[in-house]
Amino acid sequence: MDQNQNCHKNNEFLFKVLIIGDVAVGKSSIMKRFAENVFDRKYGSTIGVDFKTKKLKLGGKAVKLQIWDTAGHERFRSITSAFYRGAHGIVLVYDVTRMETFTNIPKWLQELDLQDYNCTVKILFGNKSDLSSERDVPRETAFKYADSNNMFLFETSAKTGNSVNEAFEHLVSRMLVAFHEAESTATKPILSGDLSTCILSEQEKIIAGSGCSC
Amino acid sequence: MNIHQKSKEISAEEISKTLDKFGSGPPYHEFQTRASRRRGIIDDNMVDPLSAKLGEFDINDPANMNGNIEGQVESNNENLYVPAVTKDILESEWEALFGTGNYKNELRNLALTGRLRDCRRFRGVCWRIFLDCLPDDVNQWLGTMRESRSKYCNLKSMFLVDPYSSRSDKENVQVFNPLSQESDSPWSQYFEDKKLNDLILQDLDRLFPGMHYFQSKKIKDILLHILFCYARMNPNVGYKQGMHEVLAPLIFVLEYDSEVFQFLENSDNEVMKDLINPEFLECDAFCLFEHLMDIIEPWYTQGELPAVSQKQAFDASGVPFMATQPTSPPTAIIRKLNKIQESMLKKYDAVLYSHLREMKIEPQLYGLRWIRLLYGREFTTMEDILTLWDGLFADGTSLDFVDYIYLSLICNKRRKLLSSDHFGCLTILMKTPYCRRDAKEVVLEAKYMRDTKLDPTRKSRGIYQAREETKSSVTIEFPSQEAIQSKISSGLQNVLRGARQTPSKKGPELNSRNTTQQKKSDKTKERVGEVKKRPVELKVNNKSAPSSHMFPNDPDDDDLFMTSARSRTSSATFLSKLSSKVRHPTRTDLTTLQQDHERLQERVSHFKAEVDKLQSISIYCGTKMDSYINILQDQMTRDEKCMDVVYLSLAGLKQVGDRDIYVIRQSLNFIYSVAQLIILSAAPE
Repeated sequence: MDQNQNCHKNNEFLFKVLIIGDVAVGKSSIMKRFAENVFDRKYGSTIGVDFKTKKLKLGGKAVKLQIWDTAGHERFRSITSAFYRGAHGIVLVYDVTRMETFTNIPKWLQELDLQDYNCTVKILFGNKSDLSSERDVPRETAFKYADSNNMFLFETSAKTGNSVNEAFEHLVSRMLVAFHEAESTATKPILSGDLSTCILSEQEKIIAGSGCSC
Repeated sequence: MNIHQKSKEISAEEISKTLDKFGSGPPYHEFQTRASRRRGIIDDNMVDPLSAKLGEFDINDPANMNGNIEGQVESNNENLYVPAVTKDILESEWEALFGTGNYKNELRNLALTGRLRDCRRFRGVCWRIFLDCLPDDVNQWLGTMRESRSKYCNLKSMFLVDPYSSRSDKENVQVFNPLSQESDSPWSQYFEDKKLNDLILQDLDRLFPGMHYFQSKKIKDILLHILFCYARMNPNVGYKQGMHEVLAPLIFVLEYDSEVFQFLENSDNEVMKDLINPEFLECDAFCLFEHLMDIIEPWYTQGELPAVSQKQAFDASGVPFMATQPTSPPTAIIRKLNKIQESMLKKYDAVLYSHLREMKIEPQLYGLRWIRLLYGREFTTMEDILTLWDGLFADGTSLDFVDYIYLSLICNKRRKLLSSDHFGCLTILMKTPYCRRDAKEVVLEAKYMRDTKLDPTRKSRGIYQAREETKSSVTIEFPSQEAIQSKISSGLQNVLRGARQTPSKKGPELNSRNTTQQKKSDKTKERVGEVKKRPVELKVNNKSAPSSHMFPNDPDDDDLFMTSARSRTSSATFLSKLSSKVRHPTRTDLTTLQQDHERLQERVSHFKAEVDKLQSISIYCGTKMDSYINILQDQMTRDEKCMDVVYLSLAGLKQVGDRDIYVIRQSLNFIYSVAQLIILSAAPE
């Protein structure tokens, strides 16, 4: 409704994406890698929130992403509505070298449910995939979990940049699909409803023809 | 200047001697880098701990380095290092700082004017005084310190328990067993503790990445122990991200103090020796941290989850800043942030306030970090943070000064903010480091704001006096266009003359600046007096009109005019800078000239954007005025009694409105064209 107008102006889509997850899983690094394509080992802990924007073209559509990075410690409580209001996409991050960050993912999902944002597009990132020798979360377990929760999982590495762009592009394509779905059923508010019906082949087409432009 | 240079040379030699003797602790390292920089030797591997870039900045980036040196030399030229550290010097310094009966007030004065850094050898002691770790009576210091130290030692032995060495229940295998589910088993506590330890360590690993100092094992251990003990002692607060960045500068300062301890072997001043004894660094840091946390702990507590969906709450209320309030009581930090932005900023700068409100900028997005870390990430160097904290702690143990620093920081970027949209504002406000200015200036400005008690009638003097001055030149009788232009150009010439007379941009002491400003504003007051009638009429009109969202409940608000006026002053000084550049072109160096030209053009385009913005404001102003007049007119025609006088004055008002817009637009256009002319003449052949 109102958001519908907000996120589609002048032929440019504007999506707000939140990155959440435990302390020190690499949320800020993922944001930095995606938005600026740099990796800085020395990134101080995020206090409160941080944000960056990134423009990209996907399937001929101009998309502006507003990426919000949270403090792993914060758990929404102090920031409240200001932060997650109107989010279109959620990136849940865990650290593949630390099992407890993965087992905490349901807790984060629960918290999202409490905020009535269970309808937005969600995607799971297993970060620090470059540290293969220290891996603690088996691939199969993680993929199984993601499948059962209707989420896509990407094992990423903010350090090497591996899969970060692909994962975000996938997220954007799903948000675009959700947007059009919502538009076609005008009575429904934006990005609500069951997203599990997303047509995969269509997304892959979009991803294949896409390129990052900024 | 020659004398200074000599002292630099000496200092460098002395320092290397000192270093040979005592090894290179961080503070001496600093002197060495400073000295070598002044002699033009810059070693990339040596980083001055006080001026080291904090946060995400690459300390080895030459661009950062250069900018930094300039700032450093500028801000420290009054306290060039005095090399010899002897027992006598330290004793006399101590005596000067803490010897007098009224020492506390004097220290406060020093700190609130940014001068405590000149005698920073005992900064840690000063902070302990400010934060009430030490009683007023110097004779009681020893006893108090001993007490707090033994308290910390007890805490440490209580909380840092090794289950292997715990013998109490060794016989009872039911309890003393790593797999025991009993809650009083030392092992269950051990696992809890390990979690907490890991959590803290995760943050310590990325603490002030620009400073190697905090990555040493010794300092890391101290940080860990203190944070751990604090979290265990206050289980309802625990450890929260950000506390580590509050503690780190405290340890840095105490360690810095303790570096001179080695010179005091023969000193009779037991109090001084005891207070800066490096042996007690950890205990003393805990004491300081605990006292500071007592004040700022509420800002770290997190509220409970709101029961109702925030989305609904937001839509229902329709008032952006109130959005967080209806569902659950906001946390202390949100209340504080709302107070600052909702009432203090509104009082001080209503235009900026309503702009941020319109842009839906909520203070917790950027202010949370500002306040929780006590601005620890908003400045470029550690020295800036310490200077800021001097003022912060000295002002009083309620740390209300935090609010005024907040205002000072936000008002300082007001022009940028006013010309930005939602994203632009957020980008400006959330940038780290936010402030590239000297912290001393920020402290002075915040102090000024506090002293004037945010009294809007007084704010235009002093720091913001520039507004008043040019406001008068806008509101001066508004006859012909030529007259205005001549007025502006004569004003311009004045500014130019002033610029030539005082080539150094770095302002003198505030006092002297104030007096000259006072003179200026006196002059302008006379002029304002002559033509005071019109603005008064305007205000009356404003009051009687229904409150618009642009002027929320503030009858005294004529900031709109100030806005345009203020940026005109800045544009005038900008012009003066421009023309001073034009006056002395070094024709030999064409490339630098070209670079200059490009830079200037960049600024002109920025300037143009500014002018456009102001024009739109003036148009807005006019339309607002029109609407008020219409309302008045409607009301009065309904009235039986027909008052010719009122109609006449209404007509006059209308004319004024039209004129005013015209005048502002004309003068802005004029300034812009002057700027372009100067650019053209500055263009390299």
